[in-house]
Amino acid sequence: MIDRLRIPVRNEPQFDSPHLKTNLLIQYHLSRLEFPRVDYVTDLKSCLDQIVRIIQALIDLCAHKALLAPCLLCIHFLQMIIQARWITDPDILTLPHIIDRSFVQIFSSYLCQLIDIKHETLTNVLNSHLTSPQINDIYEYLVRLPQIELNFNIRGFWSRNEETRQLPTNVHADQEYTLQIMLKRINRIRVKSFCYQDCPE
Amino acid sequence: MFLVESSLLNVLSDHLNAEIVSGTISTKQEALDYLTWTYFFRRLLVNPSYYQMEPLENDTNEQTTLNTYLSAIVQRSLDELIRATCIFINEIDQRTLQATVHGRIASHYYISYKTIHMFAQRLTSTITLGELIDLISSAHEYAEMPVQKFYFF
Repeated sequence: MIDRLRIPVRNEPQFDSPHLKTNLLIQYHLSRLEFPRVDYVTDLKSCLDQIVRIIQALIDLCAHKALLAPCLLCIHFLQMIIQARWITDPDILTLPHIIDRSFVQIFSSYLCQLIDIKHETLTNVLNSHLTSPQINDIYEYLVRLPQIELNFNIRGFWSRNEETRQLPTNVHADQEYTLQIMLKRINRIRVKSFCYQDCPE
Repeated sequence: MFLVESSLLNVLSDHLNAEIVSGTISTKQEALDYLTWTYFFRRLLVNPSYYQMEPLENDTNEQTTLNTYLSAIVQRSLDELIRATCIFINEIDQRTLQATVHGRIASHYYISYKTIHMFAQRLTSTITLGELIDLISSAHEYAEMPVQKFYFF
C-alpha cells in the first residue's frame, strides 16, 4: 500500500502508528485508490468525519499567526479532501462520472470555461463516452457551480482625509489600510444536498 | 448490576478548556465546584479506589483526602492547559484563568488541546503539502485509529 502513495512517507515509517495509517488513508482518498481491505473504507469515513473541523482549526491558527501561504494551502487542502482530488489534477476530474484521465483530452478546456456550456454541446462532446443520465448529472453540476463577481478597493489615508481608492495604487509606509473585498454571486443558487465525491455514505 | 464508571478524567483538560473559553470557569475554585456537579464526582465517592483516590495517611479524615485529591487533578489539568498555551493565569490578580486564541480555536472547533498545541508548534511559514498531510495525520483525534489489523500490502 505504502508504495502507491503520491507523497512518500518520511524516513523510517513506524508501521504500527495510527498517524501513519491516517496519512495513508488521506492520500488514498485523494488519489481515489481502492483499498485492499474493506475495513479501511470505514476507517476513512471516520477520518473524514473529523478532518473538516481539524482543517478549519488549522486555517484559524494560520490566520492568527498571520501565515498567508499555509492558510491558502489549508484552504486548498480542504477543497482537495471534499473533491477527493489532488490540487495538481486537471480540474475537469472533479466533475461527476469523469473518472478517467482520457476525458482531459476530450474537454481540452478548463472547468471555468464550461460553466455556461449548453446542454446540447455537452451531449455532443460526451455522448460517445457516457450515458444520457450521466451527462445530465454533469450538466446539473456545472450549472450549480457558483459564479462570483469580485470587486475590491483599498481604504485609508493618503493625505488629510480618509478615502477609498482603486487598486493598484501607491500606499504610504507605516500607515494602516483596509482592503475591502466585495463578493457577489451572480447566478441563481440551487440547493441540493452536498456529499463527498467518491466516498461511501 | 453492571456499573458504568466515569471517563471524565481522560478528557478533563478539554472540558475545562471549553468552560474557561465560555466563561463558566474563571478560577481554580470554580473548576473544583464544576467537578462536584459531575457524574465522575458521584462515582468517586462510591468507588474511590477505581480513580486512585487513597487516604494520605491513616489519620486523615475523608474530607481532607477528597479535597487534596480533587485539587491535585484540577491543578494537573490546568497545568497541562497552560503548558499547551491554551489558557493563562492573569498576571495582576494571579488567579483568574483566561483563554488564549489557541484555547478558543480548540474549543470552537471541538478539537483536543493537544492537537492545537502540536499544530501551533509545528506550523511553519514554508510548510509543504506533504508536511501538511503529515501534520494533520498526527492530530490527537487520530490516535485511536485502529492499527492492530494494519498491513501494508
